[in-house]
Amino acid sequence: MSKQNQGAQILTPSCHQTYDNVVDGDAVIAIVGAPNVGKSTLFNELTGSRVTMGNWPGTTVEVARGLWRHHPRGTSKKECDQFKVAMVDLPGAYSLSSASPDEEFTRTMVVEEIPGPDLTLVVVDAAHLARSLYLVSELREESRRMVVAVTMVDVAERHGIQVHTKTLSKVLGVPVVKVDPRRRKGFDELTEAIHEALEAPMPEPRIRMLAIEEEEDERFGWIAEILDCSMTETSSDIQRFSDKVDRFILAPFLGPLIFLGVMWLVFQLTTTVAAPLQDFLGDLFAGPVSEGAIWLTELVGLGGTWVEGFLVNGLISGVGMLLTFAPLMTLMFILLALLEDSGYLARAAVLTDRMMGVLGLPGQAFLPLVVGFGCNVPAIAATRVLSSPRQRLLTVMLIPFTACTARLTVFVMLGTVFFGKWAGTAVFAMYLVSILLVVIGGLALRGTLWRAMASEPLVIDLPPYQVPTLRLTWSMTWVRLRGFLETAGGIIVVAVILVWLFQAIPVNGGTFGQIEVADSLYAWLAMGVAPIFAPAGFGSWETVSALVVGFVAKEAVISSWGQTYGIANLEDFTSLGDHIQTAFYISSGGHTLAAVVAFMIYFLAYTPCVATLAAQVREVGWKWTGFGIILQIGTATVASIVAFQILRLVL
Amino acid sequence: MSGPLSMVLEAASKNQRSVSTIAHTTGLSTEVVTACVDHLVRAGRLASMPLASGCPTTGCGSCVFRIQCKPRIARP
Repeated sequence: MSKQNQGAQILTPSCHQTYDNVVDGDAVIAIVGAPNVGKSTLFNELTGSRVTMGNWPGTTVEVARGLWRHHPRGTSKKECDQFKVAMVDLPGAYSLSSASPDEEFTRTMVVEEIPGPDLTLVVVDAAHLARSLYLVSELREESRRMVVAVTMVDVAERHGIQVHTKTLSKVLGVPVVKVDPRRRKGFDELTEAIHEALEAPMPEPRIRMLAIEEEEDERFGWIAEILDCSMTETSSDIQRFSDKVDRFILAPFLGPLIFLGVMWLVFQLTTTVAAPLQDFLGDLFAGPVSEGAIWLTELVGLGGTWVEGFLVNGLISGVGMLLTFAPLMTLMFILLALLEDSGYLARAAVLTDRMMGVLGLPGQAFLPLVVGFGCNVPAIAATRVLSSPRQRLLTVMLIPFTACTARLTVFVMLGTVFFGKWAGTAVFAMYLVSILLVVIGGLALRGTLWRAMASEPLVIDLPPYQVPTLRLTWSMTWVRLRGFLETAGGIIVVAVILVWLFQAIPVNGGTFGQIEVADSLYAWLAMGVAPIFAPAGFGSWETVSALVVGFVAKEAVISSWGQTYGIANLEDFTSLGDHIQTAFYISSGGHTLAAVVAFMIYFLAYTPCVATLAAQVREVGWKWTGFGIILQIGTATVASIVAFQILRLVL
Repeated sequence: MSGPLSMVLEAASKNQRSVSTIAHTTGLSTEVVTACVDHLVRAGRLASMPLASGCPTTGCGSCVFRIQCKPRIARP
């Protein structure tokens, strides 16, 4: 019998109560390791087809058992020299902390079972060595024979990680071998290491110097020291670049300033570059498209009837006006996609989250809120990532205050009409107001309804920076633009039809579809509501009716203005602006800019759209959706009145 | 005693959100910080979430927005 076998014979279980019943061999080796480190691949390669799968007796945990037959180095190939090792592939476990049934089972089988296996083979992932070494650190605190098999070495090397096994073996105090189970590399070294370990005296356990409550910290401290001397990491150029840039981008003071600058630039570019294209489309709908529709209706004998009115003053005025924003939205979506694809928006999200964290809001809520700046509907669906029902509810209540891209369309229009070359800055200011409303709303709810809500710390996996790709940028742009066009072609058409219908019904006499809008049911209803908004400076029926239509979808505000002022019959886009300016001038008593800002604040804070309401009902039910509507309208009313009353003193 | 685990937890509590910033603040290697984060997440003492730029390379399954996002363009 070989030397190795003699050593193993000494250790051959004679009283293996548990292992005896289910395995047979010269020695018993338990293979342990974290999930997905190649543990089972190594087990399968060592045992070949001699594997038994099934529950471990008395448990529901499935364990693979197999026999590893081999001839140790220096022995003959005869049957009698064959070394038979019973291998037990225990479930994947990051630690022995009994956090899961699998970990508890592994702990029982390796640490608590007496006697345990003759040797524990710990499989560690070279690409995630620190993570894998925690289990090793726990096992080294016990007196047991152990061999560490390092897998995924090729993956680690591709990431610039080099593991020095000799040094690692020295500091761990147990043999360490590199293996590649798929290519069957390192098996001879592993066999030798196992035989030597089986022969060697039981290694001394590692002594911890700390109390039990600090043991986890101490283990990671030990792991950090081990990695310092046994692993070298050459981070990739892109990772180094990302880390350097992040020092500035995520800096506490500089980061938010950069973020604000970038967003201002986006809005400024959008409003200035896309304006000529918007004018061109406005002229197209007001001119040739409207004239074509009139010519067509006259051709089929419907000229001058309500059909012509519906086509020209309804569909073309409403939907056409909205479609003039398509180039602007395209440019905006391209710029946002470039920021997103480059990895910058992820950093911007972290900055937003940090600000919320400083104010005591739950960190986990930031992701749905950031999504809300695109569209509130998926943002509400995204609150499902939050584990706490109260956090979910709070976030659902706050999302409607985020300025979605639908609101952006109206902000851009009002910015262009009232603020000229400062349009981008005006839109940017509305985004700041939006963030402010989220923060104030969050603090108010957290200080009252959700006073005792706990928030756990959060860490975010940030992608490295990259050069934006044309394909992904276009893909993201198109998905958003398609959403805009689908809204314009779907719910806005419905809104336009309803608005046209209400504008066609006379209340002071006249023929259906042949009356001035001011004499219609639409205006009559709006006049009843308008006085409520007088303290905010925009109590005219033309403005208030647009707000009411905005309940359906925010873009519908533009289409309803287009219908109210019959913009398709007018010469160009500025004519609509003139009408709106006049309405605000009259309703505010000459404080036009103060009234417009108040209107924009109201528009930002009140209920976003029916789709958002439907999403809220789905997530939090009718009661909380109703509470949300009251919260939004209440906030919008108070904020707009306060804004107007203050601003009219200075503007 | 302030070991790596406590340092990472403290940094995350002070709104250090990314592994690289925590590593920079604490002086620990990113490998150790990542391992600590994983450990704390498993213990339920820390939350972690990926924030990919654009669509996740792992497909829609890992994306929280898949409920609403129905792209007709093939993902890269």
